[in-house]
Amino acid sequence: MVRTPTLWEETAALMGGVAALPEDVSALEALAADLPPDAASLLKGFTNPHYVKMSIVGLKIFNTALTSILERRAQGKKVAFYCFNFPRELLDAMDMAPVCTEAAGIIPVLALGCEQYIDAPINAGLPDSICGGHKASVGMIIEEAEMKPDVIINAGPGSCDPNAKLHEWMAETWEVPIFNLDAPYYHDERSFQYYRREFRRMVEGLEGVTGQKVDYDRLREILENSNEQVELYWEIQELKKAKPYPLSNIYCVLVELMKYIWSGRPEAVEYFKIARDTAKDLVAKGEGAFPNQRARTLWTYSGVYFDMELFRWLEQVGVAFVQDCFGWYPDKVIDTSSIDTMIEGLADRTLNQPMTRQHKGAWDGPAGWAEDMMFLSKELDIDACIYSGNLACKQTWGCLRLITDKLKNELGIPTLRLETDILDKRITPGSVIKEQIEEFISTLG
Amino acid sequence: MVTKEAEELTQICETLSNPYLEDWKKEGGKIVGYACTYVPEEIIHAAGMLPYRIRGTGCVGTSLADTWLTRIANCSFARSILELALTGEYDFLDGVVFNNGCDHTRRGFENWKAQQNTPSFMYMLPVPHVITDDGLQWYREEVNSFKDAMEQSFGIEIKDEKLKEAVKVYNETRSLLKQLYELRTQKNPPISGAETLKILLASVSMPREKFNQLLRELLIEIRSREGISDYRARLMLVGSINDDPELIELIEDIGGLVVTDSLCFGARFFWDLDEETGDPMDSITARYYYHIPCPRMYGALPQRLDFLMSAVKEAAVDGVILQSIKFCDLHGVENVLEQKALEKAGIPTLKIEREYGPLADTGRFRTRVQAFLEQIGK
Amino acid sequence: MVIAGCDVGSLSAEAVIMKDGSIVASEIIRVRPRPEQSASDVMDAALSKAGMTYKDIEGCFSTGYGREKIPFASGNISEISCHGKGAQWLIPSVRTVIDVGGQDCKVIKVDENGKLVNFVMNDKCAAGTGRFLEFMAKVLGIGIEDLGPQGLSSEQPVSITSFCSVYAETEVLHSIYEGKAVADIAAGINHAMSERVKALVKRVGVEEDICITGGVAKNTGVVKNLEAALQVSAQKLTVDPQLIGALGAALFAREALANQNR
Repeated sequence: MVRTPTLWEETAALMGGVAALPEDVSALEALAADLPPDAASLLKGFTNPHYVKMSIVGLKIFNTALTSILERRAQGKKVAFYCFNFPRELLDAMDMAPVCTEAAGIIPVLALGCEQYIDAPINAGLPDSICGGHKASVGMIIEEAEMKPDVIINAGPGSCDPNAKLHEWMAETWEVPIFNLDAPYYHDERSFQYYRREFRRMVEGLEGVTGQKVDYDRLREILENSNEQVELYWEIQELKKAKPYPLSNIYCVLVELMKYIWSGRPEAVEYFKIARDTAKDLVAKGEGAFPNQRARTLWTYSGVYFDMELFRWLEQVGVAFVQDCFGWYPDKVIDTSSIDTMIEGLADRTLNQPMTRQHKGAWDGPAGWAEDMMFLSKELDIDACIYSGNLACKQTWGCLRLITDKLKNELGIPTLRLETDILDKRITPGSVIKEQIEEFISTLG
Repeated sequence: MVTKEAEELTQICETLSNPYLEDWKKEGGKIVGYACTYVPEEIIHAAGMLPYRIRGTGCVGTSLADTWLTRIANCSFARSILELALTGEYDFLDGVVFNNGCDHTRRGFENWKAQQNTPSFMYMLPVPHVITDDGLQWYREEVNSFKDAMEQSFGIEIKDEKLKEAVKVYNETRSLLKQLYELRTQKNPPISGAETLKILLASVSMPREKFNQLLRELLIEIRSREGISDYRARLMLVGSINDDPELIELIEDIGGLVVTDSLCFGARFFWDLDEETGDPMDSITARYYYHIPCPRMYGALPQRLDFLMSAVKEAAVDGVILQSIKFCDLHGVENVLEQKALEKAGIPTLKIEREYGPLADTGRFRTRVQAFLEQIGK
Repeated sequence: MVIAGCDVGSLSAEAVIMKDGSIVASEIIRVRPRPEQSASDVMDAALSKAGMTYKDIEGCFSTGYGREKIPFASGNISEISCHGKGAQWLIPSVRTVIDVGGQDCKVIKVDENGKLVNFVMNDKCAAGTGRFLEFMAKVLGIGIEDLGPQGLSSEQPVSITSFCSVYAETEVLHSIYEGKAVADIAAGINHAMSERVKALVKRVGVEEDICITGGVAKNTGVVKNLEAALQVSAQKLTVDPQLIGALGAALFAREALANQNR
């Protein structure tokens, strides 16, 4: 009997085919026409003619990352699940098979839709209000037991209830060890010191439980790559300020996925290099990444991902996706001169990850959501904000009005409030979202 | 013979304010509201003020609050509290202290704080989400900062001897409430779950010394009662916050006698005692940090399950109702884990999602509880 | 022995009268403003059909949202237990009962004696209830009873993805503007409805045999879709699926009477 391919295998197979394509928009479009709707929509999101090279590299990385995990797992390496707000570099240097919980579900959802997986955790009794970012990956493990983690790192405590609680549920349900990293409420030296101790405790525990030690030479190598990534990221942040906007909307989406699934690897560096080079070229020529630009938007939460074509559609209606909160990485270069500096650098970086950073005191806390959104709006000369309204995110919903009022009153920037599950098209369908965005943009004048 | 005052203790909770509070205010006393079991009341008490647990009593709708905390994503309890604050019902407070207890309440606090007319002392006392030595140290520093902030804001000094007195007073309450809970474990409990909650609510709404005196009296009367025997099943209520006696009355009206709980307006709030020797700040900190943990504390599930199982056993529970307020992920997820443990032990469970207070759909809640009683053959 | 059951729900009220183990009369009416009124109206009608009076009834139980307010009932039982009881009595092999009513949807598991073992009830607004169908039929401009037959004739059902009735309405409107055939849209609505019910069923799992009760069981389109989605075929009821709650109540009244006489 032929074994049904698992969701990941299926996704990897699909992405593998894509990655073999020539760097040509028409080839992407032709392939999209032959695929089922979700996969077709995914590919259409990547069809900005200036950025085909970057897009293909990005798509290849999806595939490389998935296959690498499958291979490592087949070799008996420990599967470590981590929350997206945790730097995968450490796990890579421990020779594990690092799986970002959110990406584990997001990537298949982008490619295949997979509602049955999204529903599985709810059928298992979990509340409906847990994050769409987790439903598919948890569902995948429920339906395909073989994808179970061997160990879990929970960087949710202090930054997000549903996230942290879901990781606890996973650990309990599959009886695997979990390491909790407690993000303190503040963002001062005392907090960073506390968090560094938390981080060290986690590393020790992880080594103890898995029997796999951090290879610090390997970590140095990886961190040097991710340092290069960081420098490129900041260079691109500068290029973003150009008008017309020189990057494809898909760039921001991929920044997040690069961080989640492949940070510290040469291919990720390559991705940022191509993005930088392409944007630089366009800026030099005084061109934008797409014509008839009408608005520079800041997405104060994340994008909406179940219908990736949306990102290309935005370009077609002249809307630039300049920045989103989840793609805001105020990372510093990590000093790789000693084990201590590397571990501390990683700890500091973790406490500075999106969500962890903004959502302690979102309204009036330092590096809070309000402060970051105000800063980004000014820095990137934003015309309008769009809140993608992921319904599971109680804490941004809970202070949305404070932040939108502030943006409006102090900077004159309006916010469109969507209500979605960013990964489940059954909450607010893509057609409705497009309608709402179009109407909003037309009011900007 | 029980005094009228003690007899009326269960009526204190019916409104936000009460005659004791009014007298306290009239005599120039200050009241500081707090919203979570991780705020040490002893510090407020030692400051000569009255710690008042913020609740949603009397909220009839949340239309104002819903423009800040949203209806589509935020908890109806947090919205009810905010509504009462926005409509001036909490104007009698001189200060407000919140924790980063959960996403809903910490945002609720931010929205309250951002308003024009708030009490002058609006304080956030952050608590770690893990139980470690380092976390204890952090929390100790926070409790210290809280004490400093109180002293500075109100121009007072909180002396050690006052803290020691507070420890005694609060420990007495805890011991008395524990006696009450012990009575509920009897075959014919002399007190219902709803009445118990009313007493608990009184404890956080009036001068504590007075409460202790009245509860001591009331306990004598309660002990002399015949006990309730016409119930269909002995139930335990766990899950999201509940300060609404009507929710329990709904269950008890159809024969499900609530005999114990692990709620934060319940056992979790008073079960553990302060050490009465040593540095009072240390003992208060340790008591609040290590008390029966809220689901917000990670790595503490074993402690929560231990308490759950021992309560089930002690009160000879026939079934457990695991309820969560819509959008409460902490309890929503926790309930799944607790349900699994209970089922493994052969204890029937009912898992319900509900709305709080004025938004509650009592008909549907009642139907499910009744079906549960029918299911367990009671 | 004459027994009766009375089910006062949110949209309709039902009465069933049984004599010596078989149904002799039944009635379904739209609810009146007060549950007491609904109960006596529906029972009056059933009694007159049976040629009986209240005096003939030896035991009567009530169920449904109005169950506690029925003056002539000697006891009340939740509609969850009643649907399980009624369906399993009619078809002894039934272990899972899916009751899709006007305002809620329940999945009920029973044992070989019709006793409630487990249940789940929808938490979400109108999704997966008769109200959703009613709303969608209105948008489409056809009667709710036409949704089933219309949908069955479709070969290309439109896709309605949204769980939210408001957005689902937008999707239906889009389809209408695009000139899609009514049959295709109706089929899409039936499919969407069955998806929502399926999600609920999955929470307790399917144990065969299954049967579908409540008003929505009359929508052949939804039933067919649901059977396909769950990969089962539902047992056909020999009485009106809307009567099952009242039937269950009557059976509980009979049990109570038997216990009393013992």
